[in-house]
Amino acid sequence: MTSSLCKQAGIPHHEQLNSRRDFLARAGMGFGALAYGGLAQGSMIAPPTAQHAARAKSVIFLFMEGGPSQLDTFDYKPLLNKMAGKPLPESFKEPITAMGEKGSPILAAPRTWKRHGESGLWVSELLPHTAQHADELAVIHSLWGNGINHAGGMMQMHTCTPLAGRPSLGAWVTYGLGSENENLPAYVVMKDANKPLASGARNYGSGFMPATYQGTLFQNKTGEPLLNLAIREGESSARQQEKLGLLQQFNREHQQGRTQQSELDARIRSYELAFKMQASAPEAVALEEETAETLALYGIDQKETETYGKQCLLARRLVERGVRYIQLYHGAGSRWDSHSKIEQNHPKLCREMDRPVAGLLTDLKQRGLLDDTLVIWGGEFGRTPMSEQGNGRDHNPTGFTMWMAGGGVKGGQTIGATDELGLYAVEDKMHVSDFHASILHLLGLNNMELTFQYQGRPERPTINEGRFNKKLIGG
Amino acid sequence: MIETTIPGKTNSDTFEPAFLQVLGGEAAAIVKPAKATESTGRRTALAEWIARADNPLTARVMVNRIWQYHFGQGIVSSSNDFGSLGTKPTHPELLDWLAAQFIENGFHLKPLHRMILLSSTYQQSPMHPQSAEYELVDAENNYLWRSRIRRLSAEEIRDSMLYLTGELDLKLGGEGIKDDHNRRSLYFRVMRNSPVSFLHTMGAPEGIKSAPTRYIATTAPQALLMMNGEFTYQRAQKLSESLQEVSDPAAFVTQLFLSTTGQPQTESQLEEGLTFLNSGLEAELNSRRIDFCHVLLNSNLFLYVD
Repeated sequence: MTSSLCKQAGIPHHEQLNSRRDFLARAGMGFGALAYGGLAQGSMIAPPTAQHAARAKSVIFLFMEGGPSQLDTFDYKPLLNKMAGKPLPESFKEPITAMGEKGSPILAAPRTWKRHGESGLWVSELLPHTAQHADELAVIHSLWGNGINHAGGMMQMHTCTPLAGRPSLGAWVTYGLGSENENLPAYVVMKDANKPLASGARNYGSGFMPATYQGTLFQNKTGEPLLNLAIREGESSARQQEKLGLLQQFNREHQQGRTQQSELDARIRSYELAFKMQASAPEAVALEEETAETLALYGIDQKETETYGKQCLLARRLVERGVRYIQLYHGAGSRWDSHSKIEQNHPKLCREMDRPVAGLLTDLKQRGLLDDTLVIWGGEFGRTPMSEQGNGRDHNPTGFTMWMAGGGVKGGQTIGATDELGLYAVEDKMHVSDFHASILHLLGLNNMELTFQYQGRPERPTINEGRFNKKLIGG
Repeated sequence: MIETTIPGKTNSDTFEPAFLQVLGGEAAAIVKPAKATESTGRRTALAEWIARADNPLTARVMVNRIWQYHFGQGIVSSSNDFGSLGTKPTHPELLDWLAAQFIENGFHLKPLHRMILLSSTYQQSPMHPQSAEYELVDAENNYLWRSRIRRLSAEEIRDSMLYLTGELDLKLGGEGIKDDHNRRSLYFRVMRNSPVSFLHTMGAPEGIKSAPTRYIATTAPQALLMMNGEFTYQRAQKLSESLQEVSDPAAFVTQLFLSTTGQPQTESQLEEGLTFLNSGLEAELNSRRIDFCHVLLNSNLFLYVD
């Protein structure tokens, strides 16, 4: 029907019917969510739970914040040392650098490189423990993105576009698949330091989708992973019970005669669920239940690896309990950002995370969890072969490395390649949107079919781009 | 006259300013304002076009938005999208009539609010004697045969609590505030990297993209925030303090119910309240009064209107 007022004025206001599904009955509601109000008709088009067979059930994203150098870790370029001190050959397109240093000479990567495992993957001496898992890793050398600074790079690696405002990948996954444990958030975020990330909470935000799909930042205090989880100091649990009893009594009386309003019922249940969480969430993070061998496996017995080791171990415990998507930041506060003195920076940061990451892979494997858990390693971009300030490397979003393991991914392979100096991705280029589409695919979601209606547009996690790279599963 | 070209294209043609083709595409008459000498006058032309009396779209969008705030859902539920992908109006004639009234009243908002709030539709009860029958026809109550419950928005919850305790600072205008002020939530500075925790948990949007409506999710983390968080408990303390003079427990319960829920308590509520206050030791009385306030601030009686 067209409005008569608009018709008179000759202004169209067409309408078409949107199908409204009963998403209230569905699992994909986000953390502890029991009801929604205020959604326009058809604004959520609940995705079919399995769009195709899922290979992975959960994701652990090991995020190296600041941009680790591919040239010092996984992307072996012998030419780098031969050309050290010389300018970038003229055959290379002149790169745009974040800090704007022009014509800087090539910086050597003084590393020993070896082939590892049966697959013979190249891994540098900086990652001896990760190297032992070479046959599990699918190392993608040809990532590229559009964000040249940290804010844009972080935004894109999390939300697919350098501009803020879209839901993060974890939010899309939570929306698409929901949680398997209603007592814990489906999407958990942990940082190795209490420092802000570039672009902050937007990296795990829900953008234009309801806030329940956003990541929940676990607090660093052990025992109280979630904000407001513990009973207020000075309140006994008996008193809290008594108060909850009275509250629920009032709420049930209020509900009488308003029974059509499912929201009120949901709110009564939200207090019951909160009460259950107070018991189950601390249990999930109780590392004291772990054996000394396990702690050592993650490097928790050593100062340098203790912090990230604990987080990696927590990630395994959360995966065991059905948490869907876990983002673990190493180097929070852009510590990987080595514009100068990369020789001091990278060896130290690699030591901090190498054993914990390797320990996580070993542990997941020995517990039979690796098949269902997709582990991802990398940062918002890589680094340049040219030097910056004489002994550092600038940002490089034009060709960098990330790896995946587990979750149905075929290990012991490399995908794509950069040029001979590791500056530009040249072979089998994988844009961040392809990378996201691939992660979604492994989880059983199709990046073009998973949609959320916003402002009259069916929005997709990878906008309208992104293709699954079949090589990840050996195709 | 400034020429309009496509940025970055050196040899492109120039364009004449015009309005959206889908809305008619007429050319814009640009008049350089006499007073603002720096201005080309283009935005003034756009503003005048948007607000002109014979453009019903602006009035329809505006009255729909006001309706949405009062009823929890607009007559057009996709309130940012009246286009071909938007939803149908549930009451198209009403929307047109309200828009016409709004234009007639010179685009003043107060008469519009008054008209909506004094309507029998707004004043309906959530209970309906024939609800079983009506449910079969319109289970979602799109045709408003009864009132719709509406949870207060995040900002309304915070502001209402501060208002109840007498702490709310109603100063108008001025600089944005940080977390530790008692001014209306409207005045919070929006730091997009670190949102205000209370508002964010209760569902305030991120402040990056336009939010046509509030998603009111009901979640367990909200229950944790309201029960264990400091802000709500501190308001309960202040609320109890403000009733220090009222020593009679029954009067205490009665006054609290009136102020937090806007209606007198029922007999059973009074009884339950008194039982809670009078349990335990004499020394506990003060903490029980605070806890009773805390329970009421958590209750649906306070958080929902219908």
